[in-house]
Amino acid sequence: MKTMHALAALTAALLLLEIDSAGAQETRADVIRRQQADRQAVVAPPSLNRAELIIDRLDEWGVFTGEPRGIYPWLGSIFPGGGIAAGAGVHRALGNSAAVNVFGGYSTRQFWHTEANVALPALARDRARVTLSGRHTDAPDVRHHGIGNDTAQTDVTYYGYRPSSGGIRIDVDASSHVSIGGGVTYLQVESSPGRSGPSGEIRPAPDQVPAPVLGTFTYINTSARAAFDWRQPSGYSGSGGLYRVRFDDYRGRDGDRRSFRSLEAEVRQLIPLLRANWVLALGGLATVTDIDDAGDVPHFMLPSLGGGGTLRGYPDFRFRDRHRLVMNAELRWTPARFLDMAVFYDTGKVAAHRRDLDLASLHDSYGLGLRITGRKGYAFRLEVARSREHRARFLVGAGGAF
Amino acid sequence: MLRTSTRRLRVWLPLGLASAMAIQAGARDRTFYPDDPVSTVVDSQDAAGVQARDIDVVYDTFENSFAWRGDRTADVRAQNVNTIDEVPDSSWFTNRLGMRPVTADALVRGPGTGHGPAAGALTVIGAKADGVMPGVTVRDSAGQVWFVKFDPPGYPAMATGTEVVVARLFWALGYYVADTHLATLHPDELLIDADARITPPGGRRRPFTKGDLRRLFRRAHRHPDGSFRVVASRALEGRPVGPFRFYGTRSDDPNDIVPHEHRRELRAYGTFAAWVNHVDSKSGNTLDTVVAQDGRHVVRHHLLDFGSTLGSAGVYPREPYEGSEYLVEGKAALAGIPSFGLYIKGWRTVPRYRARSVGAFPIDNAQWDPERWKPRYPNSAFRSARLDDKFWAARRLQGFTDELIEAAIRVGRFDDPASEGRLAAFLVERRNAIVRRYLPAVNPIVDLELRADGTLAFANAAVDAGVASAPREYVVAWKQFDNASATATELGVTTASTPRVAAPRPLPATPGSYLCADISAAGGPAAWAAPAHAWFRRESGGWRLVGFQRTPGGNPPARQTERGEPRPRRHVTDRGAISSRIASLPGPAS
Repeated sequence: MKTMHALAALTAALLLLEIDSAGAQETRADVIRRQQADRQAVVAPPSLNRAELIIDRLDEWGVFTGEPRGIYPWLGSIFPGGGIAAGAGVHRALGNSAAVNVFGGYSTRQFWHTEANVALPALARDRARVTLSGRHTDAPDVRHHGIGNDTAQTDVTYYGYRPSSGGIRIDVDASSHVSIGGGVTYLQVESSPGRSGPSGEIRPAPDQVPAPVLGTFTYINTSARAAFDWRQPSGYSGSGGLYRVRFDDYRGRDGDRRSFRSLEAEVRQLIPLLRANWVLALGGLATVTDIDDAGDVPHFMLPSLGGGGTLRGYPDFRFRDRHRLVMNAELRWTPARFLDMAVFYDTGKVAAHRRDLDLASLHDSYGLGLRITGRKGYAFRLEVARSREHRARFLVGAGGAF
Repeated sequence: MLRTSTRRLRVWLPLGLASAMAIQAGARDRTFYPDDPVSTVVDSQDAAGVQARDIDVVYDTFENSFAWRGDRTADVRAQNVNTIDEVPDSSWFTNRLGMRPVTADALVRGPGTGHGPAAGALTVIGAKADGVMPGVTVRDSAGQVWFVKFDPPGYPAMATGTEVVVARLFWALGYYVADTHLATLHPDELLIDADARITPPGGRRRPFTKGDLRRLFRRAHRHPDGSFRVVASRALEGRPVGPFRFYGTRSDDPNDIVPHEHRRELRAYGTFAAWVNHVDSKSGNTLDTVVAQDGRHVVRHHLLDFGSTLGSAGVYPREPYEGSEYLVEGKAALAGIPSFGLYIKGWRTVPRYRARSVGAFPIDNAQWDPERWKPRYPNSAFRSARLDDKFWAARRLQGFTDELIEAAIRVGRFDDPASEGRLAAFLVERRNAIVRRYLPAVNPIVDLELRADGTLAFANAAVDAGVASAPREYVVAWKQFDNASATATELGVTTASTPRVAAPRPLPATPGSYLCADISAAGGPAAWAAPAHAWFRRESGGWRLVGFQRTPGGNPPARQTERGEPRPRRHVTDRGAISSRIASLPGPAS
């Protein structure tokens, strides 16, 4: 029996040795085949990970392309001084060039805005685009320092601003650099007392600030514009220039007393230095209004100075008057792709008379900016600016300064 | 009685099994198999179930810019090389230049038959509306499907010429690429198929119209006679299933058993991409197709879209930073913020050649350092590349003679001899820079032969290329190697001042016996002191090289140490892992 058991064990050993013997003849090809066969048993269909799903969703929302598909969240600014706003929209592409886009948002300072745009199918071999639009804004608390170039910082009050508009505009690419356009818009503005009244922190004597013009105002706005833009690409560039002019006629529905016209001209010039290691960006903007002697332009329609687009060391609407002159200069450098830095200097003034639009009594500010950029333009900017009235104003926003 | 015998069996049987398994384990641990070195890896499993998938370009950019995906272990030897350190033919790669003769005629012909679309009308059957370069899918009069792309306005040959030139270069290097041809397209010869569809950006799929064609033409360079020069890419064989990643494996492909970051041909692709400044060497420019082969379905892996290489960025000339910076730079960007632009990057001051025919590229590449080249965003396979992978790539590039390079450029028909000359100089200088940089960087022993008279003959690739001086002497440590146990017995050390070193005598004469020779060089670059290991098997016809490993240990990925990039989390060395490495082909490191 003992022999039998030993024999069984030996048989088992030989059996394995036989397997091993066969294995000894195994080839590299056999090993690879076995590994592939083992994997065949565990193959699984491809699937998106969580990050891919998130990117997919952001792409649908148009975060990367600017062209959302379907319902999307909206984040932005409703009106200067309104704070950050959030909301939702729906975008539907119709054919190749037509689209409907409706969105609305509510801000941290309780401003709200709704807007609908319908882009009709492109015309003239895609060179012409017609857009129908309607929008309503409720800005219940807008800063007002009075009118003039020498208003005091402490003289401030607030008013409610509620414009509603509907119109049609056409944009035509006359050539690769030249574009022209125009439009007609029905505009109704309701101006009311502000929610805050005089600032809680700054309490000027009430008679020091001319009261905002209150009431409901209705206009038919007819506009025409032309631009020559040879920046390459136009959104974010280190060379080239933009020269544009715009004319607006605001015809008051309540009589000619509030009808006026405005003309705005702008020059932006980008000068690359050492293969765009630095870019010197220069900008000039002039706006003039024209009204009958007996007429009056409502304060909320006047050209203004202050804020991210003009004088960055002053708050939005710090100065208002019939005419405006702004000049900006930036020295930009690029530490990395998608990142621009700039030191800037802004100067400008407002004036009651066109002849006063000179280089005397200019307000100025200077500062430092950081911008996140893409090939198509500025996506985001963070700036700190200093002026006679503010030691440091921080500006956060979308898009570029000029 | 039965109980007693069972108990005894319980004692004896495990003993027998254990002893048998020990023997078998020894057999399994063998280093070399009878068919080593393999020249081809066959995809043995049917891959019919592989599904189409896409890789979002935004996700791919973010993922690779902010994460290092795949195996980050430093200094991992390529896992798909055979036992003599070469890349076998596979569904990824076919050895050509450097292993087999490639004539200028063959290079000009490339992967196809040498013919573009058949004469006659072309019918549009689909369109690519997104991406920087527009294109349409057409069917020619013979029924063949082609994908057609254009030159950007103002650059009459730049993108199309570059595409066909570089596609041929990569074909010669061994990659699967599309069969591309230059052609002239007359708009009136284009028909639109009733079933043609397009998905405009942000829109829904809809029928393709003449308006779409018009919009497409507006983004293309039109010749004075109204025609367009195009590059036509023959539709790839098989069912497209989307791009491949440069890390990990494809989850539904049973034959994809080597992580992509550890495939030598993908690691070396980084060196080849540096050569032609292919900064867009991303997953989005690859495509897998399922093809029928030997009665089953296998996945074939292609490189596509070379229109954004050399001096072309596809829709505009190459920008100066491309090849020198990632899109997202970390510390360098932060350092530049407070510099007010006074820190001027080197690429801004490099003189560049610029022409509408070929785009823009640096004029002088003699001092160019391939180790400093960067694609638009990091690539896991490129990051995993070791100096032995780059040595392998440099050897392949050596196969490109000046004449072959000039022949490839002529395929581009740039119609600008001066620019073609500049382009040739660009490629020649950068090829030389790669050879100069990587051949001396590791022990450059190649072409080994153990002759019947016991002389070990080999070549020194760096010395032969004229990029290094001959060492004072070669030192060879000889060992008898036991293939079953992977153990070695020292036989002695011999030296010689030339690459002809006599072996100690007597050498084993029994067929199936193995010799190992550790070859180092003294009096040369420091890297040459690290021995290269060669294994020979005695066969009826003499000694056959069955194993070769260039740099076990002491071979950190140069980019990580020289560029100051984050160090990998783990670090392993090759020491003591020679046999397991060789035996590891083609699976993950054992």
